[in-house]
Amino acid sequence: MGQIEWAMWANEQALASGLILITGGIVATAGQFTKWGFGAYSIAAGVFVCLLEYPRGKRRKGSTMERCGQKYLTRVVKVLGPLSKNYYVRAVLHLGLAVPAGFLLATLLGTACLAIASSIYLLAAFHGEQWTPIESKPKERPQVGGTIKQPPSNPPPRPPAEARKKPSEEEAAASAAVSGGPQENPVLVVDEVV
Amino acid sequence: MAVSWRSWLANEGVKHLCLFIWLSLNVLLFWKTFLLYNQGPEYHYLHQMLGLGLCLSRASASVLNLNCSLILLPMCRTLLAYLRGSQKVPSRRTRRLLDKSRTFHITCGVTICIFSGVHVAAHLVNALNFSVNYSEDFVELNAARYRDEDPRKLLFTTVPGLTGVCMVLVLFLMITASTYAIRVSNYDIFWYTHNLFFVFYMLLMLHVSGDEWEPYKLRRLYFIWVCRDIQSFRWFADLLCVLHNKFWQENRPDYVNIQLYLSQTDGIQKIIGEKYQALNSRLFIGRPRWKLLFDEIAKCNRGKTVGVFCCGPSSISKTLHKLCNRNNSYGTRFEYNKESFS
Repeated sequence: MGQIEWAMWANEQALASGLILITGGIVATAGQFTKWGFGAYSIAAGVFVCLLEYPRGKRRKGSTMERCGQKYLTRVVKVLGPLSKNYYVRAVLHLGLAVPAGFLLATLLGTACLAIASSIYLLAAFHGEQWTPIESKPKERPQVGGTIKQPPSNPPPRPPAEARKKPSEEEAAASAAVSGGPQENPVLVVDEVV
Repeated sequence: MAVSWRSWLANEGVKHLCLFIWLSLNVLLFWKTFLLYNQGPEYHYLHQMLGLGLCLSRASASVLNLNCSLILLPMCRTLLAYLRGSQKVPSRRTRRLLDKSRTFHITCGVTICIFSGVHVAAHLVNALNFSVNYSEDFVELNAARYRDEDPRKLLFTTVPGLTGVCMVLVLFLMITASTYAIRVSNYDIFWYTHNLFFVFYMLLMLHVSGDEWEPYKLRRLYFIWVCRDIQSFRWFADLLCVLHNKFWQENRPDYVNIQLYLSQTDGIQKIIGEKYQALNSRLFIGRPRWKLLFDEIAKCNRGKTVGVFCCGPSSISKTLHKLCNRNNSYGTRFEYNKESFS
């Protein structure tokens, strides 16, 4: 269990909670129920949470699957500093955002889900995890063929090891130096089209 | 790239056929249930109170029922291995269909998510409507206990409400841990949360049983009260008279059938005066003759379900319990409920 990265799960939960908050908020404001102001708040909070949580953080080991188009939001979220990096801060923030939505029936579910996400973020913070942005490194384009200096010196089909070791070391070295280029095939190779 | 129809049929045909059958089943179930609650005469008053929310919540519930039953089957690996390896499944085509079990499991899972969303939203609106449209005329139909009862209370103090909330939270944990990214990076989280399905099914059993309280549509109440001495009846004499008069005014005098029994006859005095006229004529000396009473009630309610509610000492309780289980020739079913405060 020591290798589990809780933050990744918390991230999925928070994103889902954000969507649930938005949906509940829409139902509350569109239905014009009493206290629909909480519904409007819920939409705003949901949108904020979704934007904050959309860029996935980098995993400690291995490659991370990026969400579609997340690099634009990564730039914005990076700027927020400790708000985005520190998971303790995120846990408290999510809990705080969740509370007002609890006053309305339509958004109550969003509160519960965001509260759960907050607690998993707390767990992640205890494990010392933090959010690192996924930066795409600029790819160096190597010159085509730039690293190819010489053709391979011992391509297949290769004779068995005994045949190769038969001559003495110096002779092998000498013969290798002499026939450094294409090797001699033990059997005639014919290109046949079947 | 041109598709070879023969290859396509071999590769996709049966799979798509099964998907089509499953889809049709779901659509049919949803439609039938929706129409039942939209037009069925036995749900007329409930429909007046709740509107579209009733139809959507019930229709989505039946789809959820189907998919929750189906979703476990593709994950019975031993069963699948047995089918694959035996003579029972002769053709290669069927074997290849079994390979798609995990995809089917995921399809059912996604359906459960979507319809859970519909079901929850509809029931939240229902809770609101129960509270807002509370009417004195339909007390027994309403899940709310008084007008403008906070719908959140309805959610958390009823069995279906509470189990429903817990199920949604369990589902939330399971779904968020089942995304491709999590499965690929932290399989443990997916595996451990997915084992919560057991909790989900336990809650589901309770959720459904909470609904069984609805069918007690009250047509007549037999109120039988046994006391030792006459003074005990004074406690509720006023209330009983008020009720009796109310039903007389509403022209349904037989709605409540009051029978008072005085088990001890020393120092008897009828309930004095004109004030309790209605009760005087309903006062009997001696213990009630339960067998005869049950026979009479069974005769008047052929084929129906009658709820028997006993609050009292265990001797009466035992008698009533036995009588409830006894056979009667009218096809009436007696359901026994007991409560005691001592």
